[in-house]
Amino acid sequence: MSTFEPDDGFDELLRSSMHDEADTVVPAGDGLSRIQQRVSARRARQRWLRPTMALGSAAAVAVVAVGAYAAVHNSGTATVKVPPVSPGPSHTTTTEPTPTQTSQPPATVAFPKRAIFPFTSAKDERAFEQEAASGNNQWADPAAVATSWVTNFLQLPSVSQFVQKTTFTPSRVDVTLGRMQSDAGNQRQISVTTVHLVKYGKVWIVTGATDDSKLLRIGSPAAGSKVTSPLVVSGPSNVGVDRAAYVQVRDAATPTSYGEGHTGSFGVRGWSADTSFSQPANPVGVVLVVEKSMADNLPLRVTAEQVRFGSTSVSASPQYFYGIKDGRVTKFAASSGAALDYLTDPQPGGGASDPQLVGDDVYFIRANGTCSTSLVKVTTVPTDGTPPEQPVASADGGYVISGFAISVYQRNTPQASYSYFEKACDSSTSPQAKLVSISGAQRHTVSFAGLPPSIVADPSYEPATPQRTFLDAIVETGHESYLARYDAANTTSPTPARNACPGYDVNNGRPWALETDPSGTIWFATQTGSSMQVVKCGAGGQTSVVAFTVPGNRQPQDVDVSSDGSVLLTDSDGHIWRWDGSGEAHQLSPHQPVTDVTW
Amino acid sequence: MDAAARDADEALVALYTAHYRPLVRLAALLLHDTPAAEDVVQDAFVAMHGSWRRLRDTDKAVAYLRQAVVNRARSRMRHLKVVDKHAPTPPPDAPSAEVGALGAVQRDEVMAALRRLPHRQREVLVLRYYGDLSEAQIAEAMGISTGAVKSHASRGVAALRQTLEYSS
Repeated sequence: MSTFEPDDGFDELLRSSMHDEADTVVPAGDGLSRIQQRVSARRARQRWLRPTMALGSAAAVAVVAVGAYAAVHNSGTATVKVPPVSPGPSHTTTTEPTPTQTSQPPATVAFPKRAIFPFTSAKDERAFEQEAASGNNQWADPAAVATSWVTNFLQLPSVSQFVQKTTFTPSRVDVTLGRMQSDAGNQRQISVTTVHLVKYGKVWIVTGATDDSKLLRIGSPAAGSKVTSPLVVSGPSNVGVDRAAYVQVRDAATPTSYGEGHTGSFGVRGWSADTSFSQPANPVGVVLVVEKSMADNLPLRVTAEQVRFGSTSVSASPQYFYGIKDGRVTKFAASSGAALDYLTDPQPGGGASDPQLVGDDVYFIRANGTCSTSLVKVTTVPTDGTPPEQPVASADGGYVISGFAISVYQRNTPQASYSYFEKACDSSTSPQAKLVSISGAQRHTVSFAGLPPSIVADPSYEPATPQRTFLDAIVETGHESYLARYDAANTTSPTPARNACPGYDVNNGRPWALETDPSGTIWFATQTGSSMQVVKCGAGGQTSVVAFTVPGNRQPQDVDVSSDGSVLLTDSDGHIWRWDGSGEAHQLSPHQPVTDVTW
Repeated sequence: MDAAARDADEALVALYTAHYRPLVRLAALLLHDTPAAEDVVQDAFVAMHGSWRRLRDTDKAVAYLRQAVVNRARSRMRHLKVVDKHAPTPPPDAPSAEVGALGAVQRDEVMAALRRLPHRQREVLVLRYYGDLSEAQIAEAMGISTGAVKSHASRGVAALRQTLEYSS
């Protein structure tokens, strides 16, 4: 007789009880849409993965390249372990009905550049392995690492529930964490964040966390970028309901928050938050964004990324800057402002002006006599004698270049992009000025029939996107100026409607110079009447924040941001100030006025 | 979107329509938590959709879903310990008067006893008495042998009889 065939009524009691109980369960009506949303998200993730997998052979080469290290680090043998080919991510929370992935030791990989927790350097990880050689390894389980990071280091103790683990390769997994949410008397588990981990040696290392719904994303700063205080953190939004989030700048190595900002409510518009933070104790940090649930005020979505703190000491900033002295491009000591060397020769009848350091080259405007200028460049790499000047572009006949921008992307290639603003020498020439944008063989011109409007100082390229290239510029319309955003290939109006920084009120000070850094943050110098201020405007431009102030009613001439977030500011009288990412700016002491600088 | 992807999307909708509710109820019997049951079943549907290229058959897909739900519910029980945290939801349309009251009391006792069983025993009994599956189907859903199904069932029924003081 089958086990399931009692004949005394107990069988029927169990059957009817379970059916009665089950009949009380009424699923919510949104099941299908929620499943379809997740299917879409999964598809998007797989689309992203395919190119990565296509690079398999290249990755194999990379594995071989680190083979020597692998041999020592993993097993002491000369064997390089190659990960098994995976058909895609597999969720390993539970036993899947399909055959599971073969268990195999993970391949040795380079130390992750975006490492956050528990180690931020290969050296620290190796030290841990040596100490823990005979003891327990608490970082061997990715779920435990993720949970420890979120609950203890990000200090979000409610987000402690393991939801699932997704294995992409033996050395790369995602761990989704969640919590129980109370809503109208009901309790349900929600996923709050997915932690990304990479296996290195014997430990799993957190490299960031994202919100699976993609509703909370960090647009700026980019992961791994250098940041300074005050920091504008911003991101897109794609839902039409009011939401709010808070931003923290945290230490990666300790559960320390250096500062916090708030987004205010946001819906269809992008969000941004000003975040001032104190002097970091370590070079690696975390930008954390948390959106709280309106139902229970606990985290609903969490995203976090690694950042590196910009220099806060003079010695870490660039050693040199470049400016114009005696009509020649000159190399200066960044610590004192003392002139060190000339990069160009004197040319009777024409001087150099407006230097801009891009890569190893200084681009500048070369005057060639009356009403004739060209855009040229010279290398900063030390050479015997004065390096030759290389032509980039010449102004149209009857015009002179007054400002220019060089795109850092594809420079020194036939597809290089650059832009210059040229003004007519004669008041009878039409148009009176032109904004010329060159991209490879494409040339686009915006005509300025009369002046004003006019572009003040140099424009600056935003980070390149596959679709469009934008150019930020200060446009003087008469008594006022605003930060305009030109589509470099399409805008035809000299006064485009797009404002590059709608979050800045020009009544707070008139902008005179700007530079957009590689993360998309616009730095611009303003004259308030009682001071000069350098303002940062995050990508998207919804929020601006004052980075530093120089007292006195001066007119800014140039502002230049180095790759580590340090800033040089000059005024129209040739004074120079440098700011190293926090605190006050301090004035340099060149022997003679220097108005246009770059580093 | 390629044909296989469209096929998977269509299968998802068809299978959802026919099996979502009973699978949620099955999971709810295992978890005693309706929202968690919904999550588990939605997870299973997402996984099934991702595996559709290999399945390409409704019967296989249903078996896959059932197995995925059982596995995920078990995992959820282990990790979240949600069992017995929440009071059962009262039936929205329970029969009135004494019959209903007595039936509900008896059902609650059975369900309380069921929840106290070890995972495997509870799964076997739920799949049998709610899912109406054969021993072979239960074995497939749980990934165990039919002998193990019999063993778990025998122990589970015996434990329930003892708890409910039900004698033949």
